[in-house]
Amino acid sequence: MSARILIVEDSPTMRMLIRSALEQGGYRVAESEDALQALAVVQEVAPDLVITDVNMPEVDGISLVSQMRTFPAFRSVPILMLTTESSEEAKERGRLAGATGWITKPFDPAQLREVVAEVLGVQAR
Amino acid sequence: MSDDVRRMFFVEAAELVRQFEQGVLRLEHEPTDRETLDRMFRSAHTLKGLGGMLGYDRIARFTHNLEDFLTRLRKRDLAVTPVVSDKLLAAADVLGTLVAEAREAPATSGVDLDEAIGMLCDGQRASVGPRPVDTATDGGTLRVATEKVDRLVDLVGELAVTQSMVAELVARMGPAGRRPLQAAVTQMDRHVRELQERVMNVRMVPIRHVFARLPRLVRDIAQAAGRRVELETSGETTELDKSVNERIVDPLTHLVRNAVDHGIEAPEERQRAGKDPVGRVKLAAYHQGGNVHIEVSDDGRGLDADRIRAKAEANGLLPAAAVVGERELFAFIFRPGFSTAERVSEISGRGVGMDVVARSLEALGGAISIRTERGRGTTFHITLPLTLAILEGQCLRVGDGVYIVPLASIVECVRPRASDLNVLLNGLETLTLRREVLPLIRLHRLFGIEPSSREATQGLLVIVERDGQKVAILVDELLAQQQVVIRSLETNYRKMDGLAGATILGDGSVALIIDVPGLLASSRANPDRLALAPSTTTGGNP
Repeated sequence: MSARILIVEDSPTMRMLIRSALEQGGYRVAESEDALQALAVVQEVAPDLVITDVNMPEVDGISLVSQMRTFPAFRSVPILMLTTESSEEAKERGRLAGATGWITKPFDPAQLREVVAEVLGVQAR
Repeated sequence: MSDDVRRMFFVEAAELVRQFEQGVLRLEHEPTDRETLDRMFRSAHTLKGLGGMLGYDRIARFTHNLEDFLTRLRKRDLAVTPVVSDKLLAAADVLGTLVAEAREAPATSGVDLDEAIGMLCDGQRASVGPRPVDTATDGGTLRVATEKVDRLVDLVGELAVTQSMVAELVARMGPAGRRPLQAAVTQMDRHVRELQERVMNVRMVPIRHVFARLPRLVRDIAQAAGRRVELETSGETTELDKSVNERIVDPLTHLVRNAVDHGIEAPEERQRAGKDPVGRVKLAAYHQGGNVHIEVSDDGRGLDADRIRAKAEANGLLPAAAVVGERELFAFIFRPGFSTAERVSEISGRGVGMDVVARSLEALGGAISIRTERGRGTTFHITLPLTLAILEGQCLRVGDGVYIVPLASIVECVRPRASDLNVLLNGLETLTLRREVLPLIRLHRLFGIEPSSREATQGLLVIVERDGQKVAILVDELLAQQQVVIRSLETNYRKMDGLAGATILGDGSVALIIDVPGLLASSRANPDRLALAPSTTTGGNP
């Protein structure tokens, strides 16, 4: 069974881009348009990996990561942050909150799939 | 990149640019509002990310710099002064233009990116080309391409036609066969009607998208005209047909521009009159009686009846000392070439007059009226049909053909007496109706068909009116009144003068819809076309 990935991203265009990149890799994809919606559906979706944008209205991606890490079931589910800032400060804040890694926008589809495969592979071992 | 992604991007980008611009206008009132700044930052940020992903490098580069500029504002390194908000608005324009140019890739809009970015640093204001029209619809709703909806509307129209065909066949059946079918047909009729209503409803969009452009306009005009104006809007969620929505942008823009530039007085003048130096312009939309109503009102100086009268007399529209009511007098401002503004200001003097406003509203099947009080203000009241795609029509028969005239344009129907008919020297036929002489148009001649009778006294004259101008149309017979779904002719036939479209009737035949304004215009411009050929005589005249 292919892995299930939850995308949390407020831009519909970006969601569409990520979804199509992942679906081409054979992954199953669920979407949330903000962090609150993601928190509401994450138990039900039970993703193997979460990809979240950082800069979102109301609750940002970093807060989402810390929130999710308080759920026992999601303590070890990998979470990748999507960021345009490659600044060390943003990465550090994400890491402290419990993010597994990050992807810098712009990315190309193959690159995204590589990172995802790597993260999922590491988890499987 | 797939077309779907591109399409999605342009819808989202237009919305982001709009959000950004609205943010700037809000910042002008609350310069320290953190939430607004955050939202603007996110708009720029998302555009940057998408621009980078989709290869729109100019968007990515500009938004990158814009983000830095917004960061300075967020950190309070820079305060939101009028100069800064001007820059932010110019930035919104640049964004809009960059998005538009991306759509037309590879052509570029001629925006000098370095200059636009430079404006964010030094005191230069960027000048960019005219802003593209954004057609984004609301967030949280489904965005559907118009063609898809139009196809649905067409199909439902066709379904309605099939349904009436079935109903007609059933009605013709013997009673034994009819009974079991009757109930089913009645139920189907109800469902088809409801389906049609709902599908039409999909085309309805809130007027918010039109209203949303106006705060910026009011601000710019007020600034240029030295006015202080606050804009209030209400009824933004009022829905109207998408095509109506698109076509009221210009008339509304003109009315709002007029209200700010001509309606609202200069602050000192207002103060002298004991009024708040800040003028108010209100925009309101609401539904009533199957129509959409839009009001544009200001609390300015009101229309000057004396000046309008003087101008009407000077133009020969009104005999000196003639007694006219105020209502009639104010209606003169909708006449072509009629403008009482003493000076043609930079803002309002764009060659578009109130006559154009009135005409474009009439082309939408709407109407405009005025309420005004000297020194207290003016209200323009617009009434529009809910949709352009359905028409309340009167079916007319000419020979074997069925034509449809919009019910709203019919004044009355008369069977003419021979003594009321006349042929002028130039061959033009006329009807005298209560001392009014109206041109008579023979539909059969216009469309080259054979009527039941050429004698006008054997037929019926349908009097239609538009812009206060009347014309009598000769037909053989009046048929039923019904709602018809308008189809454009141009997709199937070449465009024909005097026709607004076509529809399909219950029996499956096609009926042409008569374009009343077009008919009137052609009777004005080209009376010969409507005139009798010299060899023919009017049999109706003794």
